[in-house]
Amino acid sequence: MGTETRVYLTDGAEVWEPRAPRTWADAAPGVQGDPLRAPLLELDAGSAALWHRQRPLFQGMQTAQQSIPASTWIPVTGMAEMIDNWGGHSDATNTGRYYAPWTNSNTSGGDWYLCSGYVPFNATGFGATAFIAGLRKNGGTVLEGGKIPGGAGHVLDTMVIDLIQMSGANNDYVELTAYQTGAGALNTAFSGKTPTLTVRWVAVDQAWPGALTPALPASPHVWTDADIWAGSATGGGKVPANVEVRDLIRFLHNPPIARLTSQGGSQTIPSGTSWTSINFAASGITVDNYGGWSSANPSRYVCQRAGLYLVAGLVSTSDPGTNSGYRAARLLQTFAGGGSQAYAGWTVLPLTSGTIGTAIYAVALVRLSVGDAIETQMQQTQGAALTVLAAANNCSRMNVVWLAK
Amino acid sequence: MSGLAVPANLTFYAGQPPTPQLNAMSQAFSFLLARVAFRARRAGAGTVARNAHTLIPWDSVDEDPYGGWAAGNPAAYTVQQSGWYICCGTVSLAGTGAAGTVLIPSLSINGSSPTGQGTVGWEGPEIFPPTGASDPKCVTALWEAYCIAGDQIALDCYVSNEPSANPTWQTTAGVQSRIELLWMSV
Repeated sequence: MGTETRVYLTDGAEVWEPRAPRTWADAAPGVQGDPLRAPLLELDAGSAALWHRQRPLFQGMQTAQQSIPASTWIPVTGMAEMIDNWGGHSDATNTGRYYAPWTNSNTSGGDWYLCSGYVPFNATGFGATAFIAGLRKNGGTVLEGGKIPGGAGHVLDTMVIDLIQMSGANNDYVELTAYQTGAGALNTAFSGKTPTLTVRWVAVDQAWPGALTPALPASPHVWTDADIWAGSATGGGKVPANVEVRDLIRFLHNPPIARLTSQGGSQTIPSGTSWTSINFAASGITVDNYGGWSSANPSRYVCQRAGLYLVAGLVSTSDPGTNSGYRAARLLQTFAGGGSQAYAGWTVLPLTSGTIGTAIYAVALVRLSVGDAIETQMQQTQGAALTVLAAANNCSRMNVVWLAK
Repeated sequence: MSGLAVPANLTFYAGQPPTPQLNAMSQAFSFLLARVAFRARRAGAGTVARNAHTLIPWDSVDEDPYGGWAAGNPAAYTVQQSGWYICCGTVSLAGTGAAGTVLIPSLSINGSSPTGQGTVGWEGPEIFPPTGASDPKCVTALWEAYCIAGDQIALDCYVSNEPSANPTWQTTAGVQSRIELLWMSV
């Protein structure tokens, strides 16, 4: 199970991370106001800097080949730690699992983690076989990622990315999973490439009372001896701690994140060389803490706080059986002031036969301004429309994570 | 914001002058908000050797506030602040393909893989792209890896030997090869 994120600050105070910052009171007639005191700053600013300079991160790599049976999801095991800074993984027991740490912001749901992994298969000549990398929380529904065929003369390597909510209080864990539709078992690759899993904390539990959505913080100013520490008051040299400290910490704890999916929706992608945006359904919005998605433009995440965002779009469609042409994915940024910018993603051949479909990624770090929209799009040349998959396991998705100003 | 150091854990001392302590706090938060970033593309033409590894020479830098890239060594981003970096890399080619061709992006740190597996880097997805002359041939990957200041990060492109001629960098806007880096943690 994951460890509690309790730490001791340099003044000896014990803090359970991440900690909600205090609201500072202004002095007023009959009110003393909160003075600038070292222990208070240590609790708020000290604990926040400690947490956000070393947010939970796990990365593991498989150290030996593993047999993956046909048409059966199984976890990728034998992960050796490259880093596990909050102690959520064991190299001896359940070696494929990463247990989320028990944070202060856990409620029943848990904090949000950006999870990604690779599953290379040591298989050549499997053009009619689908190879899929997935992520699974607590042994439940596999969240499928890249679904691609093999081919002649080379092995293949597929990838998965998703946002997953995990609570250390519930012993939640995530594991990388693998699937292939060949006639028999196939091995993962362990020569030149190997399965890997990376898990990174990105935001607090949205049900935590400290999960607030402040304005994008300005960079804190340079202090001078003439500045006056204040709560929310300004003017006369006063610097409002509730903006420069409290709201800034709140933003770092809870930056914009979104997980938009096609689950519950219905859409087809026409054949041709034009691009079609993937629509996300209201029933498929797992998290969207700053309200970037709306039903009026169901394909778009509209930026509410400027910054550099990780955007991972997954296009997942069925195949008709007699498959041809190619499948391509991209991200499209439409600027609030006009114009657009594309970010190309995967372009692949489909399986030579079969209806299980194809799932491909477009991923980028995109600089968004407020009002900019980002979409995941698909182009395909099958010669007939393809249906966007919409089940919990195989739906199309777009993950959006604010990472920096 | 640029030029800030990775913050140490903050410590506040009662009885000491507050201004330097508050500025240490300000600098820490400024770094944690803005972080070290680098984004660049390969916009110009150029031949990519098949059956070989090519470190992509960047020629269009979209942002580099810490100055880790230099035109004299265009394939490398020299790490300015140690830490874990998230890296998104895309390789995109033009030209006529051939059946059985694979395309692989790899994250190369000082010419090798941070996992120890991989010829010149940590291999991302290995896919079979379409083969038509005008078909897009592109693959994107995501990694997170630790780098020490001074390390050189590059994106390697491997294309297998099936095409009858060497492909070229895709120069169309929006379909170009690109790299995006961001400091994530100590």
